[in-house]
Amino acid sequence: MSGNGNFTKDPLDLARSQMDFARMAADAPSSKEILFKAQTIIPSTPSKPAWQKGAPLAGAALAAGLLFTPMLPDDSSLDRLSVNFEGSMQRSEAQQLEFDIRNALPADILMGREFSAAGSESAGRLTLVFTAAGEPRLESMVTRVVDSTGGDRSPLYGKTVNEARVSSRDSIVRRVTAMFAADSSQIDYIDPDNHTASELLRRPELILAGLNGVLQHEGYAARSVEFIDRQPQVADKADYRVIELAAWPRPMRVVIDTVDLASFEHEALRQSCVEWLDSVNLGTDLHGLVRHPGELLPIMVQVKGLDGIYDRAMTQKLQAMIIQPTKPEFTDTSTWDVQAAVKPPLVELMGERVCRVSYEQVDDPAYNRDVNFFWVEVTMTDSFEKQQKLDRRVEKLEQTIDF
Amino acid sequence: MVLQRNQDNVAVRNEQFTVHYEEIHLQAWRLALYLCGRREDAEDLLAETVAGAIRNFDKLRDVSKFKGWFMKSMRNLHIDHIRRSKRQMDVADFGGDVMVWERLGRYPQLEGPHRSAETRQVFRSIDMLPESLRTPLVLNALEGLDIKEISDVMGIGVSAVKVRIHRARKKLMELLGEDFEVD
Repeated sequence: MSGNGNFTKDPLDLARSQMDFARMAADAPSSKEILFKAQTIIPSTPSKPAWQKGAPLAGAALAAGLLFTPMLPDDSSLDRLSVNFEGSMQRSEAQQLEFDIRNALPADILMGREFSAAGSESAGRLTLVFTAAGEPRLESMVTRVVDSTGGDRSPLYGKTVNEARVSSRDSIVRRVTAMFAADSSQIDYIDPDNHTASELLRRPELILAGLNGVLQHEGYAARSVEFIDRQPQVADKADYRVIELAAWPRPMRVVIDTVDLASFEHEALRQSCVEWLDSVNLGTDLHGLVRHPGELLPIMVQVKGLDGIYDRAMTQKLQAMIIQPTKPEFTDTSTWDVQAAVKPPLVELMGERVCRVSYEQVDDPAYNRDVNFFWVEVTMTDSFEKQQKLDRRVEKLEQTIDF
Repeated sequence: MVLQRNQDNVAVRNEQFTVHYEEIHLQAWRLALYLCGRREDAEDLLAETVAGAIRNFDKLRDVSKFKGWFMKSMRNLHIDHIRRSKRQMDVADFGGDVMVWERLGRYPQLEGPHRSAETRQVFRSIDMLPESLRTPLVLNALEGLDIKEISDVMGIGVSAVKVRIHRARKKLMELLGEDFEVD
């Protein structure tokens, strides 16, 4: 210590001299405590577990096994179960019920629905169709969920039908294709969220597969399918292989894979194609849309996650929560706008989460110009700044669309 | 018979380990406190290090190096934890204004308030050093480990330890200002 009141000139000496080692030692846990705690962390046996010792050998054996195995067993079945609700209910109630059931279902069970209007436009009967691939508990799980959620609405269970045996390696697209090819299969139950039509529009190869399924009954196959930007024309007499069809949202041109066709064959194939298009709601029959509102809804939504990838669960929830417009509403835009229908459920579903919404009015269907359809894309985002900018863009878009 | 022999071996090994560990327990505890800054974390780190050390005690060829070997294991484990949690343990992690030394209860009851303030300033400055400089300095100047032991603990060469301690002292002086001098 210096004479002017300052202390030692070496701060580390000062620090060391001031450290209270005795107090630290008194506060320290005993070595026995630490040793005991260490014993609780891991067993002290210094040996590798048996599986670790054998892992390289087992890995080599598995690799060798795979090398000599041409195909792993990959069959699984596609089962279908229908549930009809006996009592009549309002469309909004049906949507709520569907929403609740869907939320309670495991992700691997797909659900489709049909709401058939009875008497008035807004009331009707609900039919739900459940499918699952390789799920032996389909019936028990569906029964449990439906009974607990909508048991008071008198559900009538159909028989579980084994629709097809499909490869477990197949994607849903291939399953859909397989269902198209099956005899008299309706596809309403395949798509759990009534996206069948939009999925078809996004994947022309599915349309080709579906049409092929129909044409094969007549002994023919489709070589190509393409959308055209003009009215469909009656076949050129010189080439009956070309069939132009009025379809939603654009007409399409189908070329039959054959050397030649007679006029009557051409007409028969055209009729088959038209019927198939109607059955999947790509036809031009307005009444078909009203009759099967579940197939192609006026408002179709798609939710994308932060990574930009389609979020099936959120899409299903939002789609179920949106109360779709009735026929007078979606044919008369002066009394109805899409934002008013989408925003309330969106706010309820998203809560505090940030998202941006874009509304796109789908091209006027060739023959249904008085009907308004919208694709609504919701993209989750974690950036408020980005959201503000995009919101401004959406505002512009909304103004441009002029709802 | 084989099982019995294995169990006997394990018992002997555990006993040997315990003897060695008890010699360095307090010092190991202090290092754990330096590294973690919190009593609970230090206990976990120490116990985990002991667990690993028991498991690998057979691999230690020279038992005279037990202290360096154990301390090095603890530091490596601590660094692993930091990397795993992607956090940088530094002054801010010790609670902002509350320095690690204060939380450790390091400050002795001093007679003069000015002296207490002086000491606090030293510890506060030590806290502000980066971990790579702080650890060798603390181990050397406060814990009394020699350069070779610190070299073992940190897994770096003797000369690198000397350089770090030198830099740590220099940096400490810069932080403290001109009122202090370092040997």
